[in-house]
Amino acid sequence: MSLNDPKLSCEIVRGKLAEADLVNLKSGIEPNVRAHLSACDPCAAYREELLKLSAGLGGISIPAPSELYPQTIQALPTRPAALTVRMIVLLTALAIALSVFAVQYMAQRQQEIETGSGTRTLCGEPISAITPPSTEAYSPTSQQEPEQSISSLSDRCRS
Amino acid sequence: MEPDGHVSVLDMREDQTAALQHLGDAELVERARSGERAAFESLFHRHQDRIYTLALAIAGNPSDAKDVVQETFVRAYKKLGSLRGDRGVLAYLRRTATNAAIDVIRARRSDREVSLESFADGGESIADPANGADRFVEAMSDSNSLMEALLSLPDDQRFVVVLHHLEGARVSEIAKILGVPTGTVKSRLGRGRESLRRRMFSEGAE
Repeated sequence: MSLNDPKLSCEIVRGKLAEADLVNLKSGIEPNVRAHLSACDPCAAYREELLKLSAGLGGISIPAPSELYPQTIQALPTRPAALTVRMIVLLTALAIALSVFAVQYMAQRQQEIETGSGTRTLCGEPISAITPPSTEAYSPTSQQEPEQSISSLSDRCRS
Repeated sequence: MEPDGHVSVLDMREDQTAALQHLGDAELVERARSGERAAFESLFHRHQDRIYTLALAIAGNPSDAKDVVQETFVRAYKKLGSLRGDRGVLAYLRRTATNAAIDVIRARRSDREVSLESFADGGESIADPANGADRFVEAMSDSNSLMEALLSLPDDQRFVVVLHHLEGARVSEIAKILGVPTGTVKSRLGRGRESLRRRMFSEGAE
């Protein structure tokens, strides 16, 4: 029998309905099947039952056994792997950034020392310009106490 | 609560989990991602029944279904970094559970050395549905009866029916998953539906 045969048997119609995609079962029935259904109450009822069956299957819900919760929770890793990976990536990135910063800083300092532009200062004066206290001041024969040498340097800062 | 009246760690967790139930999936995932374990447990509570139902319907027995659910949520926990959105979580869980359950079926099938194509296309006569429609509807509203009927189907038919009706997969998609022609999927769907209809109808009419 041709699929386009307008006079389909009940068996063929029900077979078509049972095999139909749910979308087609709901709304996209072929014209010849639709014509059969409009004239055949048992087949129309059959289609209704299939639709009810579909609705029932769509809403089916069986409660999970109570032991599933503790079992699953115990089976979880201590920390999400994705989080651990993310943390590793972040820490690695931070370490690289710090290393780059340190290398750049060292290079800059080296350049400053070589060019003299980065001479360290004390009280606004280059350290090299400050005359260290004479070592003679520490001579056992000297009358000047070492503390006085240091305090004289502090006095220069204050001034 | 434990028998001696002390509140167990699990009970405390369940309280925390219940407190998070008002949050959407996306926010729970975000919190779980930042290390809040109770947020993930809340997700588990929210979706466990749906995933268990799906796993049971495909795998065919409670023991395998429990394994599938456990595996599904452990995989989801490991994949927290890539889970997205409110709809994405459930979709991921369903897809993972389906795949895990398929693996269970395949493993079982290879154990039994039963081929996918071994079920003959037996043409069953069609019962007249004109009687007992109300009882049929009552039976349909009972998930346990329906699940029992589903589990009575051969694996191949049940798998197609579940994918189509519980997962919303189209016939062509199921054919791709199974690697069989769409005609085979339609045939299994037809036989599966018809068996279910007969079973639910006759049980309701008793």
